[in-house]
Amino acid sequence: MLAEKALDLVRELQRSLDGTLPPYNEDKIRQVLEEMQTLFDQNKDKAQFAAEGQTHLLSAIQLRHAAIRRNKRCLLAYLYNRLDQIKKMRWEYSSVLPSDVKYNMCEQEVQWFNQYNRLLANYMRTLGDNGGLDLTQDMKPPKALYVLVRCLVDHGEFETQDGTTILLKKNSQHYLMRAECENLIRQGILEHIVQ
Amino acid sequence: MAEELDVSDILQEENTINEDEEDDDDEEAMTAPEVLQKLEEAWLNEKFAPELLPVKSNLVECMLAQINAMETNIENAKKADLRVSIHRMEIDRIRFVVSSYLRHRLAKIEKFTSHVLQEEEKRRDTDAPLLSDAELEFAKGYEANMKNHLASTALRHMPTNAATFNDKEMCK
Amino acid sequence: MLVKDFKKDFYDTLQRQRVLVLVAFDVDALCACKILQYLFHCDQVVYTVVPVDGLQSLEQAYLENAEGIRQVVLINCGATVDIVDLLQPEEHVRFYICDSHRPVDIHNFYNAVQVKLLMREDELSTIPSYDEVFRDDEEDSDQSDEENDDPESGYKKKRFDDESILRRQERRQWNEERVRILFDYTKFTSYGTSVAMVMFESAWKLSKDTNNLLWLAIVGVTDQYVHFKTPRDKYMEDVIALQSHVSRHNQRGSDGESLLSVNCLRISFEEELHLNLYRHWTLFDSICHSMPIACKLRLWTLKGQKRLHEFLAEMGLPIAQCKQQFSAMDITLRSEVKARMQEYMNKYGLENQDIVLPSFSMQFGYKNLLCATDYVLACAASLESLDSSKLQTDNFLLASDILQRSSPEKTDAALEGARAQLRSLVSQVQSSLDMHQIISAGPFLYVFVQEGTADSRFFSQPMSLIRLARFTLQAHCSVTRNKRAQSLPLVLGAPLSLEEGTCLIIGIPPLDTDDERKNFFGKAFEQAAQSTNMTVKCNGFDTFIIEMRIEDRSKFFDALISILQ
Repeated sequence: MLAEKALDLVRELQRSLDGTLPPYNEDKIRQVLEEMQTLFDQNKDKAQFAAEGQTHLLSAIQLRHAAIRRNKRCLLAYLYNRLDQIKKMRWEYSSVLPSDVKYNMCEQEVQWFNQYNRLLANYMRTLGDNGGLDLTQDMKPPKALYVLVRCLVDHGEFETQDGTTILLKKNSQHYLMRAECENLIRQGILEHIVQ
Repeated sequence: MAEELDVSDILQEENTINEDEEDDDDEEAMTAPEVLQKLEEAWLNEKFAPELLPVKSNLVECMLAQINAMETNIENAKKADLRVSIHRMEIDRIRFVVSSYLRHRLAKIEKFTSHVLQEEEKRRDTDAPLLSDAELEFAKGYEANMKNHLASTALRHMPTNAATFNDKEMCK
Repeated sequence: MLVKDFKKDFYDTLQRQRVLVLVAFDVDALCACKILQYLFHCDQVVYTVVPVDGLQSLEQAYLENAEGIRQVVLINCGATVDIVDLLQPEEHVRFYICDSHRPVDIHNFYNAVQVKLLMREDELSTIPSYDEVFRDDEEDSDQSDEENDDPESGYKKKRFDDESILRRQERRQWNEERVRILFDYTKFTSYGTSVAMVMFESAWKLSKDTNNLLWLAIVGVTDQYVHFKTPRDKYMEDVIALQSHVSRHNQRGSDGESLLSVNCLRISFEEELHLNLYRHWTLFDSICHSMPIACKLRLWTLKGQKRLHEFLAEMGLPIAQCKQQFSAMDITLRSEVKARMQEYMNKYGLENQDIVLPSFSMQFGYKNLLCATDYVLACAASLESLDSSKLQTDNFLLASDILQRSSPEKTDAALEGARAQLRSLVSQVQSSLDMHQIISAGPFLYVFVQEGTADSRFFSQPMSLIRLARFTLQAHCSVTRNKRAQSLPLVLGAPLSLEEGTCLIIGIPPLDTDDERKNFFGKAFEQAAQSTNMTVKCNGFDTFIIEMRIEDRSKFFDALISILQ
């Protein structure tokens, strides 16, 4: 069926909506592009005839044209959505992506990501006078100044802003300033205990 | 030509929030609590409006300067627990509101880049630009990045009649 | 050094500094820790809590976490050992010890700079005076003078000799006296006021006490009683003191109804039925698994069961209903159980003390009604839960959540665990008695839990072991014809780890010293181990529970017998 492979790509992306990036399906993309090319070539041939009046070919031409456009749309949607997911990861984690995610990205996506990082960093630097405001902090409204956190994994030593080092061992509880542990809570190393 | 508020930060040792001086232009000066309230309004508006609203960079700048002033004040103040804690909480909250406001705007810019840029073109020289300068740069850079990427991965390989961008196609 | 003013000497010095809190693994310590955490939250003191289950983990936790810390609080651990000697801290580190273990090590008491004790002063009155155990070192300098003078004329040496002989004699006497005093002082181990209670009173003096903290203090005091650490008189004293706090926090209106809203924690004082977990179990099972009644009526025997049936019948409680869940019984019956039991108890040889215990119960919302003893049993069960996939510290956090009342499912699971523990306890006692495994070895009775039985894994933890030992002793005394049994202590051994071949040995004092609950087995075990040159590990903070290899058991026991005779 025409444009089926493109639909496959879109479906694949939809299945992985829970956050992990599936590998860049280079193969399928190439196939889709090939299909588009063949359709186009076929169309080119027939178009000439159609111009000379053989109207029974027109519908075929239109069909192929529609298929080409559908392929294009699916392909662009696939790429765009992948970029969207990568962008979400930047906001969730940090500017360094974990290696298994990187493995699933193709070259150009990595470059795009780096460029996006640069843009974002430049933007954030211009805010405020003090070297900028990091917009990836403070994702949730702050409820209290200090929070009670529980350590879920052995994380080793952690240095706070005023220089004290805290040993984060599994199952130890700490009462720290919220701003300092926000990152670790997001990464899942600490668990915020609400009382 | 945006409004410029000149808020000075005379944060005294006591617990008073800023008092401001009158500013040179003939716009009214606002006290810091008023600025904060306006910022919160703008934040809520931005969060719930589906389209990008005109930017309020003056409010943002003012509050960020405020935060800085409060932080220096805290460092200089003696360690009177309660006031320091309350100031710190206030700083956290203000920072959250500012960050959230800017984040929402950024998300909308990223979603509707071309459209936003077009709108901005129209409004560049009027009183209510849609984007601040930094945001404009960001938007342009983002658009270029996106186009480059899509072109290099896919469009370049497509047959000629499909190999162009159509702005309408960018909106999903 | 004793802390005289809680606020000035302890609390204010902790402000604006980072504190390390090391907590022992029992319910009392956990309650005290939560009270302290609440106080710290009020004043935004940055802290770190690390649970420790023995001296080794105490050392390790201190070493790992000590960087940059100047204030360390030890809860229910560390009073009985010289803490400065053990941890070798730096000069500026201060230790605050809040511990119910007695006797307090003399070095901790007399260290004016680095160690502060948060305890009641009257409990430390038996400590030897400073001069009896410490001495200024003039003697040493004189002795070195003597050596220096050696090459000099013999006349001088001779003169020193007379004086120095006298001095040496006197010194020797003083040393012997000191050894004797220290031995007397450390011979018996016992427990002081519950740390949760001490913390609560301090919070009260700071005017920061709440109903929640009061409940934690109640749980701490009840934990001490449930695990036989304090005699009944002390428990009653504490209960009376707590009662005044309860009435202060939970005021009742003119019609007797509580003025607090239903969603708040409400505590009330009652003369509770001393039946373990009866609200969450069937009445019948609860009676069979409660120590005083079970022992008096000997409910593990057939005859005892028949008597129980008689008892229930006489009270007018239908058997069918007694074997249902308590909450499914008729309302009239439920409300009258206590009255009827008290009416008929004398005929069956029971006393008021066995049936009724003055205690507190709490209500939280419409559904959750728990009495203090049940709460303690649930927390203890979750602290000692046997899930091998979980670390001990996971259990600590689970028990902490239960005390927080954050999720009723966890509390229910813990109550189920408590029921399982009680069931295995009773069946173990039953099998010990049926197979006559309790043997008299002269100065004490001893019994071993067989390795490899299904229930034996329950007894590898200290708290269950204490309860098992006590239940066994009491059950044995109620069936045996030996008149001396009441005055014999019990030593119980339980397998700890089959792969390593280790077992736990616990010694508890005899039943007729119940008024004092002083335990001499700590010292006895130490001496036995020394005399046989064996390596025994005392891992926890209670010296009357030790760990050793199974092969060494018989040698150890022989030594113990000879010491105690």
